[in-house]
Amino acid sequence: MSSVLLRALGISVQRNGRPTLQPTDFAVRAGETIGIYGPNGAGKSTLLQALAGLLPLTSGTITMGGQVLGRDLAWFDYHRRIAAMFQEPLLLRGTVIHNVGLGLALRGIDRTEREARVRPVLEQLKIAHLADRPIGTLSGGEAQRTSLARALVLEPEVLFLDEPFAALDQPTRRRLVRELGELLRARRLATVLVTHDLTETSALCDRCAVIDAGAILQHGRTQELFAQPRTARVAEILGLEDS
Amino acid sequence: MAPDAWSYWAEIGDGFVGAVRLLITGDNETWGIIRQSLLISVTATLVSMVLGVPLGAWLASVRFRGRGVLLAICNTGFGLPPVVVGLILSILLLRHGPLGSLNLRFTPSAMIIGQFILSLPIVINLTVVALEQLDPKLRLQIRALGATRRQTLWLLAREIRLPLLVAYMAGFGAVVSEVGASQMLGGNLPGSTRVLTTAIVMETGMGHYDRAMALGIVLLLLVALVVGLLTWAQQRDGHR
Repeated sequence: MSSVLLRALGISVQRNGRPTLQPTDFAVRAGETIGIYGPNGAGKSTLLQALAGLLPLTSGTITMGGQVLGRDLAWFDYHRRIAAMFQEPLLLRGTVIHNVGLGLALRGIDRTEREARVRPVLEQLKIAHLADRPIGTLSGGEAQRTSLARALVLEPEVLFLDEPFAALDQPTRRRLVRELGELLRARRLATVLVTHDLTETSALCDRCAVIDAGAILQHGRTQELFAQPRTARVAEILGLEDS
Repeated sequence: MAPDAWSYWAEIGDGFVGAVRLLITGDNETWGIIRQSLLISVTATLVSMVLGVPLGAWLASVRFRGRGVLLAICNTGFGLPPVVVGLILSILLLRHGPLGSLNLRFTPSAMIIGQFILSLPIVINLTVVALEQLDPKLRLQIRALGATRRQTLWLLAREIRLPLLVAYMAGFGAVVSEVGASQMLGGNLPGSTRVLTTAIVMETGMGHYDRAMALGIVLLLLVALVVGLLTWAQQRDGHR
């Protein structure tokens, strides 16, 4: 079994005094894709944002490579070792190539090196022909490919994906899920994927955590989870209640 | 048309012709007033941008008790009567007043301060509105990209550059065309604190319609320029 890259112990989050994530343990191993699956409002995005260090924790600790975040490793340095992509492409003004190279530019990498690193990723994601297009002219699928390229070009140690294709039409979504699966397997990139799509879960995730009401109900290998849901609620969430 | 009406329109016509002549021939006094107006109003609005944009960014990003009150004060500032600003600052700048030692009364600096106070709430307000209209997740995305605090502010400012331009133009438009505070704080001294609005009031009062109209034309052109720039920027932004 691969070594644990990222480990969360007892992390919880409150918003407006209301707990949105119960104390939770979570581990991400090198090279694996782990899914966070659950219904709307279950706390999936909260857990992902907490793991990505984008939300203040009410309790608990996160360690990366044995270093406690906020103590041994500054949050800012942690953010420079990960990448995140959300349901909306969240592109900034400018062209595709500007957006894809943005994270590198923020790290002070000069234009020549940026170009050299960005071009292959644009090719890989089949958007090289869009490099000089302003982002306002992109389709939904093209915008999400740009967003994914922006994350991948950083060569993150952990990639956080928050329902990245949820807003796309079915054919585009299926195509992107297939391509993402190939990319993740080829790169052996540790990935945390939030989804409420069972097809995505089974196609992409080595392991999966089922979450409801801010608490993880069950986690394990994806196939085992579907074969042996521990409770009726897990079966219901996985759509297995009638089987 | 009655003879009185003819003579009225003839006088207006003469005034207009005289106004165009003053502008075309580069009349020193007229162009001096235009230069001074631009200098004072551009400076005041720039200072309000330098302070107002970070203040607006801060107000848009924090949640604390009393934030609503601060925003309400800014909203009130939107309709701040220039004469009231002029009155309060005049009192403060009186020789024995709290700011009397600065000797700023009837100086361009006093007018810049007055116009800065008038344009600051406009800049703060438009900055807050612009930032609150951005997707809240954009901040998270920028943070996840590894941006420093300064880089985050820069990227967000870049995202709202059109609203920021609107804020500048709105602030400038408001102060370049106000007369109350400028008259009370500057005193309309020739070559120093005489600006377009105070000069128009004075020249009209003295019956110098040609010069008043020349200055009025410039003021109108300035406002048209502001609107034109905004329209151009909006259209250009639509094709980003």
